Amino acid sequence: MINWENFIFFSVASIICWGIASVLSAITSKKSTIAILFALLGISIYATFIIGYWIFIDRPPLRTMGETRLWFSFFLAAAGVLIYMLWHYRFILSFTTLLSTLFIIINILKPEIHHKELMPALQSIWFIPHVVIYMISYAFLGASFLFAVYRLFNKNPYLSKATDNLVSIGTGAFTLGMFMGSLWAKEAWGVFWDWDPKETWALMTWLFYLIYLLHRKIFPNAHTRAMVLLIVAFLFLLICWFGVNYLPYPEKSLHLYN
Amino acid sequence: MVTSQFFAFPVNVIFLFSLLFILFIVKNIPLLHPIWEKISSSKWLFYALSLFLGTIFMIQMMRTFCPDSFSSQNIFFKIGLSRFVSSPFLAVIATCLLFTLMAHHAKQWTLKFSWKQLQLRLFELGAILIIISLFWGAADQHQYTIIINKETASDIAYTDTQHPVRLPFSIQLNQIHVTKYESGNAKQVEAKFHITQNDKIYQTQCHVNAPAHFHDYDLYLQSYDTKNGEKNHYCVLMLVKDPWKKTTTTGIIFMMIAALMMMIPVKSNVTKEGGVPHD
Repeated sequence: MINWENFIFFSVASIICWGIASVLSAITSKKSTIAILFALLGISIYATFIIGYWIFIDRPPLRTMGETRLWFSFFLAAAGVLIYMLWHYRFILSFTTLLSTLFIIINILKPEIHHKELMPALQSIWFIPHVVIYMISYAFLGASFLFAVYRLFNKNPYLSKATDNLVSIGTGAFTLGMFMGSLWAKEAWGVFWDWDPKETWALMTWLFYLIYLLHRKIFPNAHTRAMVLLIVAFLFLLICWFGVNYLPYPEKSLHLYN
Repeated sequence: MVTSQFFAFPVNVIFLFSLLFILFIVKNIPLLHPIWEKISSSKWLFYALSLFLGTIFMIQMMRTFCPDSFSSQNIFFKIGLSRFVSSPFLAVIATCLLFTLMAHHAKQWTLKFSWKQLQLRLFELGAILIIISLFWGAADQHQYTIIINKETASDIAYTDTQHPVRLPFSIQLNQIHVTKYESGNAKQVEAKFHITQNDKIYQTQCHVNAPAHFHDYDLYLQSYDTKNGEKNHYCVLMLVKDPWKKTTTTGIIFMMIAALMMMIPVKSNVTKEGGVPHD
């Protein structure tokens, strides 16, 4: 059986595959099929761990902070290879590998995965799509953050368009995640919206990305300001994801399941 | 959210139609056309969204770092700077956003139809419905709690301020069923009960994440006696009457369709050679 003890082996193997894919994609000017194959191999190894671990704990691994980081790394790598296959941005695999590795290291040092049980509040058909779609959005918005930082030092205007594509996909997924959560909240708590700290930060993050998209429409040439907006938006996303737990009075949150 | 009874139906609906009427006047009187051009522009929507975000951020910061501002005697609490529910301040800002959003949306219908336009229209229409129902429809929402037991039927529920309210039906508990993990922790809790109205008996049940429905009411299992589990004789139900539920759900569905459309990239930035030039 695949348990948490095996995570380090699967993650190191995945990182090596992603690392080779990153180097190959960066050094070749044309789309590298070998790089794509290596990236997909890394994703498959990582997916094998997630499936095996899912079977081992007998519930979807989506409950704790460590488990959401597991999915974030997975979807970030998947988003990276998808973007590379679609648009052939040469450095996207390097960026996504870097960020995925960071979150894998955090998970190795601080797993936060202990419980096998799922409380009644989480026994819902909304549980898996709500969390998974959020993780997909975090992955795309994380990739857009990397592009924004890169764009600050590289004046290539095509990078801004690439960033817009990523933000559009990420914001779409974020919208789905947020409103799935809202429909779930109506079933579980009787209200669509409860102004819980996690919900409020999610709303602020979502509004920030909408403001970014509007800003790009109104001021298409204000690239630097747009990228700064995007970096701040990602900070909001990080607070929404786990930073909110470190702010005062997090015990009031209805979203604490640890 | 506006929960004051003064703004309950029909005041909230009259108010919303007044907003629409003002928009209609501004749009159709030539003298006011420059104002219409401004309020229906993307720039004004950008400002309204930023103002809304700034307001939520400020209130959240107050709630996080100034716990004293929760006191009902506190000036920030009174004017709604430290709360989201029944905050006059947030209601005004949300109404500004609603007004700008409606103007921007009305303008979209005069533009040429396209895939991107359809997405935007659905997104904005969904947002308008959600803001209307969540902010202005909240005054029509009623929420009560009721303790039901196996011995007698109960028809007295309580508001969040502990005011008793007589329900048009009575509820009596039949059984509490608890499914447990090997560790003894609850996996799922289900309450079976019957509702009596006009001498007719309706058998129903609810569990966590699956409320029961009776006429205009949704009934949620709020708590039960965890020490006695299935042997306990009572449980607490939450009753919610939300006439705007369908409006909110429609708005959410519109926004989710628009979000799915957003995730399909329309244009690729790939050059003939592939990828970002000179990256």
